[in-house]
Amino acid sequence: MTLDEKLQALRTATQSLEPSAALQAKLAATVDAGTLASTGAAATGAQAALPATVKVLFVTLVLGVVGTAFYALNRASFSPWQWAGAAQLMADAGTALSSRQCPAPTYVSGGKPIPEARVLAPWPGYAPEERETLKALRHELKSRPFTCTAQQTPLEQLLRMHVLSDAKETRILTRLAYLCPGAARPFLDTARWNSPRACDNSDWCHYPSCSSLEEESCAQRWAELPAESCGGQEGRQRLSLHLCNRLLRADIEEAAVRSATPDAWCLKADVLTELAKLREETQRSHHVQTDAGVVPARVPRGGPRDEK
Amino acid sequence: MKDAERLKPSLSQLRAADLAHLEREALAHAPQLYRLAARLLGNAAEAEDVLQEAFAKAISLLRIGAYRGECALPTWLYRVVTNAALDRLRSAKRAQAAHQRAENAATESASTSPEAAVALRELVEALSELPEDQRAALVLKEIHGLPAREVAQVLERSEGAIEQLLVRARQTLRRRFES
Repeated sequence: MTLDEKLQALRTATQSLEPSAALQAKLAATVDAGTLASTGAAATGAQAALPATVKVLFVTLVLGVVGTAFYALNRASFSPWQWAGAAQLMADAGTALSSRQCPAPTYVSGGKPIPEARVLAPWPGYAPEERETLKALRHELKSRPFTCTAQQTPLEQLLRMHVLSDAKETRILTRLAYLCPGAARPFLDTARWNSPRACDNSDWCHYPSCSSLEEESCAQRWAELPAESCGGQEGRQRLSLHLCNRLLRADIEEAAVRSATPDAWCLKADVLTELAKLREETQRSHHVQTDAGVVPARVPRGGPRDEK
Repeated sequence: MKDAERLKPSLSQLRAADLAHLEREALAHAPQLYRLAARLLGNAAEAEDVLQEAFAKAISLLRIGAYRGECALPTWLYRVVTNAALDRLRSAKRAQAAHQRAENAATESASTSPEAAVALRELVEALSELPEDQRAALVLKEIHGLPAREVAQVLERSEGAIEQLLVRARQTLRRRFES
């Protein structure tokens, strides 16, 4: 056979390739999700009818509040060179805000609000490549013409565009969910949910700072999650709950499970603050007191994680 | 003035309707996109994985208005999927499994004769060893039948560059089969 004949044969064979019904269903589900979002886009259009002066005032007000909070939160702990970086971050945030003309969501760390820009700021302990990823994300957030929708903030839209499969990005995802489970929830639900990996295996259990006990517990939960419910509400809740538990480590996992309801699968900011205290106590005691009672403390391999 | 204000929600709704139309059109092209991913990756299962990720990304991009109609929607979708597949191929782990994939992907068509099946296997294996850009150009042009202009749009190269890639790819394949 000549090369052309072989290519012709391959062309013919290719025509017989069809995606599986399961894949087609998943793709259709993706489009359905997109249709929901387009409804949000329509709402944004109505928002655009507001007078320009109101928008300017609103943006100014938001920037003022965010700036003040940022200053108050960080005055004590920032060195001069960090201030320079922070100023750049705030400038980035300002540009992003003014271009999209909508309020930034409230992210919370340790019970305190922090500006959106700090969500993408390098955190102590991040590796150089993680810092590079964050830098690229910040740049993209600033340069892309994101529009606010009812369902998604620009930051969430940006992150949803990225397939967060690498470990370094998983760390960032974790950071987001830790900061504000409520704000990160749509992102967690959709971005990861669209990946078959979310249903097919327990990759997420191999988290860098998880103890072997945690990984075991995680894998067990994955095994319990029925594949057919993966796209359903029950599966979502269970997965989301599972993710939250992962973030908060084994010493508080039981409490989270017990207190979980469909509307409160993630822990609120004030609870996070309490949990941070509990983690400290874990080092001193073998038992911790939670709102769900006394649960055994399991000190993770390598000591407790502190991402604050 | 009042008429103009009344029109604003309608325009928003129109945009939403356009978006829904684009998304439906994108969905209709899923089989072609799958075939493209399968040929670029040489593995059906991996193609499904990549297509799912790329499709979700494409829908997100459509939603934020990243597609501005510079090229036809299928061409733009081909670009998104091609980039996703090439990204996947760049992974060192995947590269190690290239030969395995070629083995798997060659026997897809049950209707081919044993001789043709062998030839197909050889060709798929040879394709998997081509440089990524040559492979993408050849698959888009010869397997998917896209005109050179569209291949250039998908790969974001000039038509001249595409012609060069095609010539080199064919030369490599011929040399391989002759030897």
